[in-house]
Amino acid sequence: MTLGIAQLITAYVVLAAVLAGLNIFSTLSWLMKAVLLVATSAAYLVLYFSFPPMLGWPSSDDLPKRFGLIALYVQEPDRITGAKGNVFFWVTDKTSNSIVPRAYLLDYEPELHARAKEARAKLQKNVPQVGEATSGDEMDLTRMGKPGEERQGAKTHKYTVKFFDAAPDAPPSKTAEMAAPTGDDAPPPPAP
Amino acid sequence: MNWGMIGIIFAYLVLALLLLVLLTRTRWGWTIKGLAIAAVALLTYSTAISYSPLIGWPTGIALPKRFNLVGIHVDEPNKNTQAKGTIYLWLTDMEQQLGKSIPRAHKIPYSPGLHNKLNEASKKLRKNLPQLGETEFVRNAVTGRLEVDLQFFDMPDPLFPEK
Repeated sequence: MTLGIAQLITAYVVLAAVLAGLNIFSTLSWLMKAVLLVATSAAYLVLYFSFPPMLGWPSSDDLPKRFGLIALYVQEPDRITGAKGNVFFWVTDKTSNSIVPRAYLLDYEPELHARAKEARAKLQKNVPQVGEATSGDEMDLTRMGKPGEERQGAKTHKYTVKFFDAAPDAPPSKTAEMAAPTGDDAPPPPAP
Repeated sequence: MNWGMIGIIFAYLVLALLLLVLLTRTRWGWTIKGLAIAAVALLTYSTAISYSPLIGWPTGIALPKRFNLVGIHVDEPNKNTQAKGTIYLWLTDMEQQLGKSIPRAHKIPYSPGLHNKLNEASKKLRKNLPQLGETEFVRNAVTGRLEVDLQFFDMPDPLFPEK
């Protein structure tokens, strides 16, 4: 059962309060009980302030099967630092019609980078891009090892992401997509 | 591991300590102790599986002072649904790795003035002119509240060589 942030914090506070209440009747000294109560109260605050720093960063969850591409960002591999590189996508889920964008990251692959560059070029020409992601295990020949050596693991979880021009007859949306990206250059409407 | 994850680990260590004291230093019956174990296990499991779906969504915390604009998404106000509108920004903090760090998604309340500025920045992004954003806080003359204002500038060339 997945919970939202408010539900998680509420459940934690209720459970910790019940446990602390039951522990009032423990054989601990009153000083230890007081320390435990202070630590529990501090934990409420710490938990409350712990969620915001984790939000906004890209997720390594699976990309939606069908998504609207808003922007993308590439960190190429760096031989000097040993960084493997990532491709970041900022997308809206077309399968759930959510208008709130979510950020994802995938491992860098030259093929993915090439497709991403092509999609970005089209976004810059105001051609909205729809992506389709399929995942599956693939044989990675670079990790097979040489004959006689121990195999390092050949199967890897790989993504195939393909981009298409968004259907031109899509109904107009209240949501304007812009950016290194698509955009709506029309002036904003007057304030409501 | 960021501060958020460290905080969550601390909070669950405190919960584990409370459970340990309950199990070892109280005379409650094993029904209550069993229920406490089950409740802590259930909450820990729920937190673990809830973590992943929370990640990736935009945060409402303050924007960095200076940032490299990566993407913009505007959800305009809608009179029919009474939605006030939201502006979503995808950006990298200029204080970290000269703006080449991992991009973070933010959300700020919609305002027509900001939308205009973002349209301008968006046009320049499409022309391959990276945009440097600066966050300012200005007091609204009507409401008296502090509101976010953004200024955009063309990024100096040497900072962002084209890959």
